[in-house]
Amino acid sequence: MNTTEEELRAVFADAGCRGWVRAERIDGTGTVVDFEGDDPVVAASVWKIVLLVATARAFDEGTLAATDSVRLVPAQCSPGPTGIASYADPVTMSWRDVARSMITVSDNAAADALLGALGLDALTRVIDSLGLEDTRIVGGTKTLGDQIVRDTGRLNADEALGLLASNYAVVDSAGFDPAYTSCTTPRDSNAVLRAVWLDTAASPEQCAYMKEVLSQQVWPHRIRSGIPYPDVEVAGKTGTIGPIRNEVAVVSFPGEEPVAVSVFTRAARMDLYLPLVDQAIGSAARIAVTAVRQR
Amino acid sequence: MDLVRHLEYFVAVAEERHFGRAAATLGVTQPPVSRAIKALEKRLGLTLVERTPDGAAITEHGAALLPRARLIVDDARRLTTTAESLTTSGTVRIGLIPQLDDGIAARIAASVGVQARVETAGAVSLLDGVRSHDLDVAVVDHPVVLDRLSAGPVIALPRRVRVPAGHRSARAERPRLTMLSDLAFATAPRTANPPAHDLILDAFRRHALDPEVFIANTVRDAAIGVASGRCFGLVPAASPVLPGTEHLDLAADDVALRVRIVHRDEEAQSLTKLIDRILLQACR
Repeated sequence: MNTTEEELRAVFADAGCRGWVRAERIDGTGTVVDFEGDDPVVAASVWKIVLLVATARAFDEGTLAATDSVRLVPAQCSPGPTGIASYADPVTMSWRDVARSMITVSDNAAADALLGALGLDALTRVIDSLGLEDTRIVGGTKTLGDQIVRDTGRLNADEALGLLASNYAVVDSAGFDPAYTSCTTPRDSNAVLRAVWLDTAASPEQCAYMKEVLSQQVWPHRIRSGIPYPDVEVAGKTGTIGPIRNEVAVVSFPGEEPVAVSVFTRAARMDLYLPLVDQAIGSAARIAVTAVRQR
Repeated sequence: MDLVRHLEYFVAVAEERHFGRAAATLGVTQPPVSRAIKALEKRLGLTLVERTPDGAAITEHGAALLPRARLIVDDARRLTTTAESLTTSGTVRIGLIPQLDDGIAARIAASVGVQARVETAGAVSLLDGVRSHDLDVAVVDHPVVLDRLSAGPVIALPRRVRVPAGHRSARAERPRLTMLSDLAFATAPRTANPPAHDLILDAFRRHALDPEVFIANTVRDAAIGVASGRCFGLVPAASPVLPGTEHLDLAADDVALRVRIVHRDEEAQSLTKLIDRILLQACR
């Protein structure tokens, strides 16, 4: 057992969660930090990076035009706490900005609009071509929400999440079990990020677009909290559902090979907000990325 | 890799055509079942089960292997039963958290008999014991990071707030948590179970009580902290009132001791049931 592993174990124990981590250089050289990195984990919104790749490929193939406008009516969209579903009035935006909203603020309505335009098969093709052996996507954000509503026997997602947030009873949902819901592994999510950064996920032009969009993500509370240097880019995607808190990102220190790092957690507490776990994701990313940078 | 157990999980999934129902019949949670199927598929180099959004369907390869898997699983069960009947004289190792009422601990020991070896420690350490096969069963406070162990439902055991005798909260007609603001909270070290420790403090803070924490390494240390007039603590509802202390019924829902019985997958089932009955009696 090496020190990095012990440090990661201690961080997760202190935060009251289980954790899964993998960090490696984009070019595949040097040390790999792997902390149960092949275990299936609940992807939550991390699945949206696969949809981003499928979107970029559709832009390449011309099946979807990046600058074509699409009109989205909030009331008719998949619900979500951020983005288009939170707007009062219909919006018109280009497909490339719909995808941008999906990544930067984890916009559920944007994700399901894109999924509707591309189809689930487009995701399967990305999964197969990138060799993501342990990644499976069962549907869009609406499917995931419905799963939880069904398991709790409640009428809507808000009621269901309220019930699931109780610390005083054990209410489980298939939505929190990688065997049932959209799942991935730290190894697979790093593989997606590496393909984007190596320009093999799509054309170099579209890979540049994906890197830009991922670097525009707004959340600073997870991986960024452990790597707070303004000259260091953290480009990633979070995922959150019930006790599940994740972030996968590429961390680029000036003059160094970028490092892909994936951190997935599952907390013992069911609270909606657990800042301690968010920070533990930052600490775990820092520990893993530091180990990769040193060797 | 535990081939027999993985085969047993595979048979259950094949019969139930559903990971959740298979896990329920096996008396475990879903993740170990899905891990077992994955491991088995990796080892055999075959896909045995197709995962679908509503459950699981067995593949052609899976169907071909199922009869042989059933034979192995049945034989293994017979072997275990025979072995159990040969080792009934073995010890039964039980871990309990210190917060659990002495009466409950004694009742568990009395029900198990002379084979019982009861160890008292914090939840994190007890779960390590269960994982390393040093313990058969543990009763731990909830929430706790289970990490590959199975746990029963949450059982809420009533607790009361122990305050120094004559404290203003004890004289009040309707005591409130905020009246404890001049006292420290005597509690087990956070490392004993970080999420449970944080949860109770968060509950206090939610009610405008943000106490200093007095680390009490033993239940006696906590009692002394209260008797000395410096602290308040939480005690099982049935605990005797010690000199220099008084017990209050306060924020019952937040201060209740919530526990779960933890064991390794499918092991120690009769022991688990026995402890479960004792705990359920205590929470009535």
